[in-house]
Amino acid sequence: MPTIKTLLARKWLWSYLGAAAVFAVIAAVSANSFATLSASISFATFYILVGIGQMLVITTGPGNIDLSIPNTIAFAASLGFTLINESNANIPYGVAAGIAGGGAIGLFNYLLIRFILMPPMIATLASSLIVRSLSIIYFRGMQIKPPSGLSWFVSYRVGGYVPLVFLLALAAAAVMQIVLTRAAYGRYIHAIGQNIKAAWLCGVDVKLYKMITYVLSGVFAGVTGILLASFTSGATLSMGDEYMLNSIAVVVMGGSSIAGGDSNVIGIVGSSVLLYLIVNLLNILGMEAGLRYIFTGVVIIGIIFLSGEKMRWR
Amino acid sequence: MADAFVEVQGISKSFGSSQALSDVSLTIAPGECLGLVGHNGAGKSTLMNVLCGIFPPTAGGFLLDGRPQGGEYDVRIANSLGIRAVFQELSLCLNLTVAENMRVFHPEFRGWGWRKRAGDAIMTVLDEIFPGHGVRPNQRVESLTLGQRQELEIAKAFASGKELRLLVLDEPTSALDYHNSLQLLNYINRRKGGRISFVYISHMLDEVLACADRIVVMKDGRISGEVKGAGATRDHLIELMGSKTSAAPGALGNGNARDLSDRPLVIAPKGKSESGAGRVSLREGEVVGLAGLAGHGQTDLLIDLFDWRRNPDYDIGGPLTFIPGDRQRDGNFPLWSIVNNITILVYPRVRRYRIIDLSLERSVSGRWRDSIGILAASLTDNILSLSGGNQQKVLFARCLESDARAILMDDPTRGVDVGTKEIIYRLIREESGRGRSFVWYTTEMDELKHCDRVYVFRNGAIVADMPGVEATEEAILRSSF
Repeated sequence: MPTIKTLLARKWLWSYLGAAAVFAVIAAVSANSFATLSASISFATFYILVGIGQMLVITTGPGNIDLSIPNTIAFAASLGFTLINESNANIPYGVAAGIAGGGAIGLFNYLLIRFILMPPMIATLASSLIVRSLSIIYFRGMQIKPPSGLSWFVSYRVGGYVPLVFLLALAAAAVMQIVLTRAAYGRYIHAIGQNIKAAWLCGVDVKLYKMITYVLSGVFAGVTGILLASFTSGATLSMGDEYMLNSIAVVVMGGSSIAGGDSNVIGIVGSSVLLYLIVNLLNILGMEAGLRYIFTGVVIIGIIFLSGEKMRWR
Repeated sequence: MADAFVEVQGISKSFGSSQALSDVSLTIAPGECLGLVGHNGAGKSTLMNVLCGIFPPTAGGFLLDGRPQGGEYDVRIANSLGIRAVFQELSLCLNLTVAENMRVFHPEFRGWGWRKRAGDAIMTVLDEIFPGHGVRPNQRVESLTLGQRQELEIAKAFASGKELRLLVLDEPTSALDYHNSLQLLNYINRRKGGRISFVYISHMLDEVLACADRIVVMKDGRISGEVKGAGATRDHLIELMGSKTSAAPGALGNGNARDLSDRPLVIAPKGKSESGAGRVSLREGEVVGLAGLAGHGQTDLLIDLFDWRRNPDYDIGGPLTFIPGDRQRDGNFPLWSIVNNITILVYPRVRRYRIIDLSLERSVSGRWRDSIGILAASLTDNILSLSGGNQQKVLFARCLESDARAILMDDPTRGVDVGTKEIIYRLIREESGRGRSFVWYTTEMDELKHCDRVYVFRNGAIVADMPGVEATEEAILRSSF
């Protein structure tokens, strides 16, 4: 049986403790705390999905990061909704196109990294700029409305409280947890992240697995874009902007190593819920936006400090 | 001649269980050029590192100008006493100019106009040693050729405001062409006899013979011979480096020379060799040894063979596995358990429905722990909790568990204890008996006795190839130099 100490050594645990603490405060100050929790986990769904994609990329080792996520989200949603054109019959094509668009951006990111030898941070920022420009040109920066079927789907709550999409995100997280720990793909990207030369000398096709990983990150961002735009009132240019830093925050708060080779899906779920609970708590308390950001920053720093992530800067 | 500038008295140095120097005594007179030769790992560089204050000896001490140097002796003191070294690895800052590099290494260039003075100082020396060098003082070092950088590195040692008493040159010509090497040797011959002493370390015996007043030969951490520079010959030096102190002269190679000529080839040269240089071939069950001085192309060949699909020179029967010597850099996955480190090559074998079965993984690892004695409290412990020798056993388990027909080994017993070495030799013997082939680069002469065939490397090419029974230490040394 694990002792308290070994439990606290599990880095992901801190995000759950934090979430529980924030929920306790909400319960104390708010009359309908479960409604707040329910709203929080709806939004947390999107953090979980982009967080998993970002985590896969970060796992492949120092320097690997996907900064194109925000504009991939906006592009995939705009592309999908433009094709759907508010007609429920077109949903399958639009969703498929949005997801494929996300994957294509991921592939483009990887090609920049591999063939133009750009550092991932610069490559993904550059492609992000291109994607945003494409969105401006083709979607005119207008808000594109979701079809009614998708809006219904993303706001459906099981038993009145538990959002269906959140349950689906949990299922995706569970699948990814198994993929990362028990499938060859997951083992290989961990190996690459820890020691890329050793991985190559073990016959791991480093280039192939890195490519798959960047594509997967784009796919997760694409799915997120479609769901998020259905949840809010439609696809806009700036709908993904907050996901740049928060996708990284949930990965690190969740106990994955920013230096790669060590990932944690369970922690992403906890820290995603925690981040949105904080936002909602501060809203309830009537705190202004500036202070909200400061407080969120402090909590992120605190969780990372408590979980004792030692940065292995290389 | 005046009293010795350096007097080394019975220095020993050990790193963990390996003895790099044992009881070495040596004097260097002012103005003398001392040649220092020996095979890799003979202790030459260790001895020089002690003299330069890079690390202290385990036992013994030395006098400089008659004064004993104690425990506080370090690089700074060595430098202030006029001891400088030019090592093989260049120490220049690539992003700075030539003059700025001078300032970094010789802080006495300061105040108004230091750039000009530092630049003038280095140019004067460069002009003197390497006329026609083509280096400008305000040029960034990264824009220089490798040869020019090496020239700068050497000149820098002379171009200080402080007096130079002893200059250690460790393989100074490895990046210089023939012409520049001659310029350097001529310069040393002009300068010696004054106040500056030189230690010239090189595998290029002709260079040592061209400039040294006296040549000291090292082997296995000891001085195995000393000859006057005048009248010394290559053959005599090679003889001193070789089996004189070794207990068993004669063939190092595999005693029971097996006849494997009817076995199928796993690695075969493709087409005709354009340069006429030798190439490796490997039969099923064969153990092939790669010999020669370190860094002469053995590891490059192993990497090329490993990259089998893209190798234009060889026909290779399927993927091979690779056991590195530098575990930390090329082998370990430092965040993983012992089990995870072992099974990375064999996921198809430990999977059920494409999902890795943890108990299967553990049983595979447990089998290896039992058969080669991986000393671990638990196989789920982190790989780094193991000693170096046990980490190396893990790498062997990883590769031997795979069904690769051949295993490439890059000096796999580097820094490994004697007990583990014996286990590794046994594993190689057993596995080769079962038909697994090995290509084994080793820096230890003794290990060649486990090989059926030995290829000797020099300057990136195979210069000799002999059956194990004919591979004497002398024959290998003769081809290496």
